Amino acid sequence: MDRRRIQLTVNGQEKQADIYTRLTLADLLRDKLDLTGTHLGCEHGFCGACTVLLDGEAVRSCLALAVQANGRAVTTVEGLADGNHLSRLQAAFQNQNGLQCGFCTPGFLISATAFLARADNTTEQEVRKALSGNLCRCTGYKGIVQAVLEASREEPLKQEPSQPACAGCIGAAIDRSEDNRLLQGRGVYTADIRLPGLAHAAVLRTKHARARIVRLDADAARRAPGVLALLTFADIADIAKQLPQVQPHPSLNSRQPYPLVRDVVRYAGEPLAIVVAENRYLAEDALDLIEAEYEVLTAAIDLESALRDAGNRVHDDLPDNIAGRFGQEVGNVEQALKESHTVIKERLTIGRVSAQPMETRAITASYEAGKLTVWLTSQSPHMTRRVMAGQLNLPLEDVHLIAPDIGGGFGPKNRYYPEYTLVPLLAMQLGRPVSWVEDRRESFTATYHAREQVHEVTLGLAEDGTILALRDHYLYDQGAYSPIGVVVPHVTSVSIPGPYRVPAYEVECTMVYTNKTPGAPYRGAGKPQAAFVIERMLDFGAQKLNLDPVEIRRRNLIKPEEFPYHTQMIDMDETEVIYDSGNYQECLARTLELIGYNDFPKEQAQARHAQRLTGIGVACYTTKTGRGPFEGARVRVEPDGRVFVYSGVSAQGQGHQTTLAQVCAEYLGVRFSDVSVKNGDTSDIEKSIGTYNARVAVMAGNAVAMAAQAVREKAIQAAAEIFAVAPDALEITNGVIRVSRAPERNMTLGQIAQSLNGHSAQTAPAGDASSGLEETRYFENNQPPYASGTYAVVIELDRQTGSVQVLRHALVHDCGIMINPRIVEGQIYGGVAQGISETLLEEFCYDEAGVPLSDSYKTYLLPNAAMIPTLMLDHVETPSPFNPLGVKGAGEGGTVPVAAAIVSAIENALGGAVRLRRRPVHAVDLQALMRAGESL
Amino acid sequence: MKPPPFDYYDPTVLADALQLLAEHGRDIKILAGGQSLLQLLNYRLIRPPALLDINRVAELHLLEQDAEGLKVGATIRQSELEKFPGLAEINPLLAEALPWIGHFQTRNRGTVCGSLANADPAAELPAVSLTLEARLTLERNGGQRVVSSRKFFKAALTTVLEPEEMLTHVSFPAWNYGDGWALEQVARRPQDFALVGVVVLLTPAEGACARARITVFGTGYPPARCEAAESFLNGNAWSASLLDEAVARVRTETKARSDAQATSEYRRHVAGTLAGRALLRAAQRAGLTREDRHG
Repeated sequence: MDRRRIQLTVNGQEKQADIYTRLTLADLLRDKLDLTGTHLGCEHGFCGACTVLLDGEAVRSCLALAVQANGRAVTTVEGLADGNHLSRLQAAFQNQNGLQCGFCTPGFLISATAFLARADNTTEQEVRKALSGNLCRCTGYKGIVQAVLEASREEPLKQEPSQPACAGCIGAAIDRSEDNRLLQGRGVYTADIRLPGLAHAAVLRTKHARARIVRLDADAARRAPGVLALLTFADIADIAKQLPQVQPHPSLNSRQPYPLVRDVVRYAGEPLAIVVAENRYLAEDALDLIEAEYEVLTAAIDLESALRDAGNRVHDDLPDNIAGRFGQEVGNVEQALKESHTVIKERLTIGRVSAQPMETRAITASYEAGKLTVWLTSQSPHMTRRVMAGQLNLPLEDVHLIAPDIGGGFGPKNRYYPEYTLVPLLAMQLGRPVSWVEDRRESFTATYHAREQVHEVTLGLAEDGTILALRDHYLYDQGAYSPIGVVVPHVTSVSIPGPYRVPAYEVECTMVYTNKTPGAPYRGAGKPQAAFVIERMLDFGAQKLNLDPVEIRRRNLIKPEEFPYHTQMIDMDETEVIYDSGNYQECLARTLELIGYNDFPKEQAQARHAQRLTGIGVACYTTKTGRGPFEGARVRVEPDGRVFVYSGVSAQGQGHQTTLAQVCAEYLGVRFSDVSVKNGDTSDIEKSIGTYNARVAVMAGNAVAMAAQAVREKAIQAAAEIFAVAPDALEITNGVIRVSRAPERNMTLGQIAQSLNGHSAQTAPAGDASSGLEETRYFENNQPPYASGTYAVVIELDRQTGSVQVLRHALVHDCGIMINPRIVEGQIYGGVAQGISETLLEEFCYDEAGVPLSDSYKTYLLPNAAMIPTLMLDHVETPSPFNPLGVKGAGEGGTVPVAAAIVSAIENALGGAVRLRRRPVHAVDLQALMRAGESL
Repeated sequence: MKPPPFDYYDPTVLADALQLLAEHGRDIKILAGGQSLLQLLNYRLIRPPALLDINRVAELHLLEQDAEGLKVGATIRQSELEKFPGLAEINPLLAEALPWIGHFQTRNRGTVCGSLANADPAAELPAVSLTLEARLTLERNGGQRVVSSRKFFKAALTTVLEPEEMLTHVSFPAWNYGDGWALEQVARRPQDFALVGVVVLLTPAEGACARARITVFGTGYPPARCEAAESFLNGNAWSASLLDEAVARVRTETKARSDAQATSEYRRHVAGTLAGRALLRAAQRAGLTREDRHG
């Protein structure tokens, strides 16, 4: 193989490297020059995360060879700042909330740097076009576009807002603590972990949906250059355990896989073998040498056929493909339907999607002196650690799991995957650290999917549109295994009534195994499907009763005085679903105002006159957030006054290091800038549940408040003894504790910590000396708060091509008290963008044999900056009475209502001449529909 | 997703490059911009034993304009042509088409000739070259031939290039001032691959359409000229009904494939729609009509 010695200038410094000529420029930067700010998001030139400047021009470093950079100058994200002083563009990104997880950020910064070097007086449209070759999954592009626009202008940048004092920290829209590091490419994602002797793994995956392995010959691969180890099922047969069912349920026929396929393949993408080599290139070379022979079996692919036809069983030991069945009834639906003025029956389908965070899954494991240390892209480090220890037969204490920076999660990174057993096992066997980074192609089948459901719905309405009865029997495509049991379809089952009064409700869900990638939660986890169902049905009802779609909603929304609202539905944990608080009418009214609902008919008529088809759609939602049962936090004050907050919840871009610090600053009485948050490390706190279901602000936020409050009380107790005053004579402001009436008598919290830490010249520390100035608290809560809101959208439909363009959209939501409005807004922008995407672009399809039709960003499309206009956004703050902070989660709400509203808007554009019963809606299908009724 | 092993050659003179092609034949792939080739290598969908990197061959870095037209060498990046001074006057159709290709980051690497030689059915440049009736120079060790764009594209991702041949440059004929032009395409997402697209060039003469050129691309087949629609338009006075008939003919004569992104029916119908829109814009630019909308 060809080797070369090359010389190049990187960020102004001369560099030399000995390389193989097949090395990509991206891998040269990351692996040879240790510049890990250049990220690999797709390795086929679509995501733009690896963009660098080559002789001043932006290029994809995954689509250039390192040898081609010989003698040339490269600029990476690490070269943009002047020392620690952010460039104007970087500072604008921080100002405008232009980043969340930070994984795509280096590529955007480089692309925008190149764009701005040529553009003056640029417009938003030009910026959006220029950025359309970079993908972001978190921000919905709003902050990024605004940042580039701000940087392009002549005016000085907005000054950093002065940081608020401790009081008022909750609710302040302050800059994120995470940003400075991430903007300079100094984030440390799992693939960036560098350890001496690190070896690299690659996984062989089957292309068949259902097949029996006849022969698996890996001998040549084991002997291939650079190969250190290779595992097939035969190599782990004596120790392999099936992945555990972490969320069992009585109505679930649980089936979980072994870490490697034992005998029968059950979905395309299932892992057959894993190889470890000196580098990833050699590992992939070895995979090419493994020979697999199969007896190909007929696969169960289509959801409904899989249910009907018990011949093609995904699991031979089950009588059919039913993975589970459950349901409930509130009131008497049969009776209520009989009494209804109008009964509508519909069949609605929801397509399958892949969450596609810009950072794929990755794991690095190191085993030394009997202790396993693992860095993992995990949304739930503590839960994962428990499963991992069980899989590897290790005591829990010997497994240390760290979730470093994570490039987006959205749900699937909460699960346990086969590689999380295999990679640590290989590190233990080899005595060398091992890293595995899922590549983009693998991510399409190896990371769990979401959403696919088919609903048979009956809605009974009174003459005035009042909902009398709702019945929904639906199917959920579980895929080949049941990694999270009934969670997603169960969430759907209790979310269909949404923000409306539904006096009689019957629901039954059948979960069906198919030979497809397993299904798991993805942003909204069952709720976007539920919203699609109820909102579609209300639109159909309005049409039938000749009511305005908004009017039928208004008549059925739960009223502010009805809270807490008892739905009588029973949740998965056997508690009643009770909506805590909200003002659904207010959200609806303000959304209509923002979108210009009342004037829209005039606007629509004018557009029609100009041969343009436009339409408007509105959808209301509630979304359960902050699922229990508990979350913890530890707060400690150091003698130098620094405050540390430890929490088990990992972050995937949500800014927890900022928001949890805000809560601590407020409750403890210290400056925000004195608080550092460490999260996602199992050594920092004993127990944790994880990051999902918009639960961190609710569960970890309240835990931090409790721990900070406890530290505060401890400090006051100690100071009361020192100053010989009553505790209520003391106050704490900005880290200083003083006697209210004699403020010259004061101490810093650091000094109190010093005193509580104890030293040999003391007789005894003041107050309660246990664990110094430090407290751990767990917030336990099984009364989740429900966020809510309304989304409205105006679209334009091209009559000939079927293309749908979002012209403008608005959302007014209520997530209770906002800890940091900028961070909340970022969550909403991103959630709405994902909603638009799964309505108009995304669908994960298979052919009849179960071969996936998407394996790249050419065939699975994510939205770019040119198709997501800036959302008009406003807030209603109804505090939740169910937790001390009064917060509700903000992470999922943005995604929940979007598909329903867009589909409604398309129908509206067509004057109600067609009924849309499926999401996604693609131009090709719409165009066919319109042509079928040429008169439209 | 790392490239498989290959031998790597990066000669500095054309003769050496052609010699290497002659020696290795099918076992060597030419690397110019690499924006398609490296994708295929990273996915290991191809495993060429050797790569011939032509980026250091000085003779191929050629971009010239003279009375004959515009001559673009094999290593000229799409962005270099895009930024060529005066391109909007020299060849307004190329100036309109180039920004549609990929993204500016890929145009900074991707070459004009590489896009032609790759012959992706959804690519803009093959369709533009077919419309402009470009001539392509193919060289081999000790010989060269010049082929018209009509002859060059054989099938999806297939051209008449022999394994030992290299497309060393493409010549776009001099622009006929007064011609109207337009490119229209539909993609699932802004700046994405065309589900279908149309390129139009109209030569006016005294209020009539003296000569029309209509090329449909993105059909799954190589880009194709719509000869029935063209000959119907040629020599006729411009009118709305003329346009409607041309659209109908484009729909009839377009051949299209179905794939996961679109059906052949969709592509044929939308090809007509886009042809109508492109013809109208081109007619306006050619001074044939002032009418400003067509469904």
